[in-house]
Amino acid sequence: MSVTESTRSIAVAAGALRAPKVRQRKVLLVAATALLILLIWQIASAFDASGLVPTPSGILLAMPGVFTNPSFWIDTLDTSLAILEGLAIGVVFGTLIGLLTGRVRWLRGLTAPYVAGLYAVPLLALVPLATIWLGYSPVARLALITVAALLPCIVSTVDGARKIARELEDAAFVLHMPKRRVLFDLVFPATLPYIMAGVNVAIGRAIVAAIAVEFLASVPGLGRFILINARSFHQDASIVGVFVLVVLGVLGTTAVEAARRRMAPWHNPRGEK
Amino acid sequence: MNQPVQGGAVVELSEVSMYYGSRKVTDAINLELRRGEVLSIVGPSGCGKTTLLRAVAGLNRPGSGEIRVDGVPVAGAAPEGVSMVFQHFGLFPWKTVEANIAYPLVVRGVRKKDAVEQTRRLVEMVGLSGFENSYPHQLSGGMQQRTGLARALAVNPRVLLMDEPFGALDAQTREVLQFELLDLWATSAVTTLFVTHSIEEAVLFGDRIAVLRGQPSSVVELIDVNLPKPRERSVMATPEFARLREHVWNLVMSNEVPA
Repeated sequence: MSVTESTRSIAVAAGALRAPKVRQRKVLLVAATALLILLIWQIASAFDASGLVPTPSGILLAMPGVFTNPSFWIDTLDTSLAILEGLAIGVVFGTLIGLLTGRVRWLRGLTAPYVAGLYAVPLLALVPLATIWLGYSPVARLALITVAALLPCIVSTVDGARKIARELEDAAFVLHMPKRRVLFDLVFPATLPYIMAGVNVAIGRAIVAAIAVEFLASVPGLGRFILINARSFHQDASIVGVFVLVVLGVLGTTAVEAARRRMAPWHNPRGEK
Repeated sequence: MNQPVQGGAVVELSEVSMYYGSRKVTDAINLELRRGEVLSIVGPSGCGKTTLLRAVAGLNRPGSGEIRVDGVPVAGAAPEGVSMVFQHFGLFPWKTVEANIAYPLVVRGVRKKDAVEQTRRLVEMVGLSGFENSYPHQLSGGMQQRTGLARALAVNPRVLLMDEPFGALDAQTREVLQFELLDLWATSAVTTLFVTHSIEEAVLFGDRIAVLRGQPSSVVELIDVNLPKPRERSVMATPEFARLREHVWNLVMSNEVPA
């Protein structure tokens, strides 16, 4: 045992020494790449005579104006809250439906064609219908975000609930895990990494849904901010809005990844760090 | 090491036929495990050894025949006091070593204080002190199987089912664990069904060895292992061990359909 302990501590020490260096190099690399892209963009835009292509410097100059504009913040908050709300509803129900249909074969047989079909439908196609039923309103936006978030959660959760290792099912049986605890002691934790993967996809789809409805139904929000600015030749301001969307998406997926590491530390596909 | 010595249960398999879909894998197997006895089952792959072991746990239902643990037929549920050690450990990856070992106690409603005490004792017994709060993925295969063994022993089992318990370990770790298991049995014998591919392991652990062969398979020979108990590593160097190994080897390998 002492041998394994000492090898472990050596490995841990080596990892601790290496980790900050690797991270530093990674950050530097990312920053350098970003700078290079911005530079190429700036130089290339000098060849554009029309003045319709946004430039990095133009965007930078547009930022103060956008960020001091209260209506921009109202729009951003509006869209963000709608996305959060729709995600919350979609994730909770998607996970519940996924767990249930993943475990109960006849329910899965009954629902699978509709889930697969809806998952494959481009959400844009549903916007006109949603606006007819729910009006050109934030309700239509919320409904579409919810559906957009719901489906990847169902699909991924079903996948996970069906892939529980047979040995774990056997262990649960032999250890006399009570039926009423199977969901919380076995199915939920075993499926958790898949649930998280579903949420990750759902975030992207929820943002797309929010913006799509705002574009097509002219619901106030960040999407409409982007559209209006682009149409009135304020490309730089429009791009600032796009960047905010990027930040929202990245923040969301980073938060989910952090939650996954915390809640499912055992799940480490292919030994990734 | 104050594991209460329990004789364990009598396990009877009478006329047990197991099926894989419509294919019959074992044909009317009759076996009786005596109290505290270790019965090794060997045979070529696909002969149904694991299927039989799973049937004793209640995981598979026999197509015909009956399995009784201390006279009570196994039907649909895992019989109380029957523990299992899995080839790939069967640990819950979201639970720490401690929580895995304690789980059967928690399920049985053992008082928290007693469960903690019992778990601590088991952790010590299998040599995992200091790793209580590690997750299985942070441990070597050998340490994971120690955890699996401790969890199986947590309920003071009457019957221990071991399905290739060392099959997923590297050769060196396997040997270490084999002799630790022998040590453990020296102090607390419990009726054990030991399924293995390794003929050496079957001889080393078994009080008797059942050799399964054929399609569907039946017990071609039930061999008494007259090696001294408690067993030690040194028995592997005795002529009797070599004779038994050869004998079992010939039984397993003869007439086998080429793989």
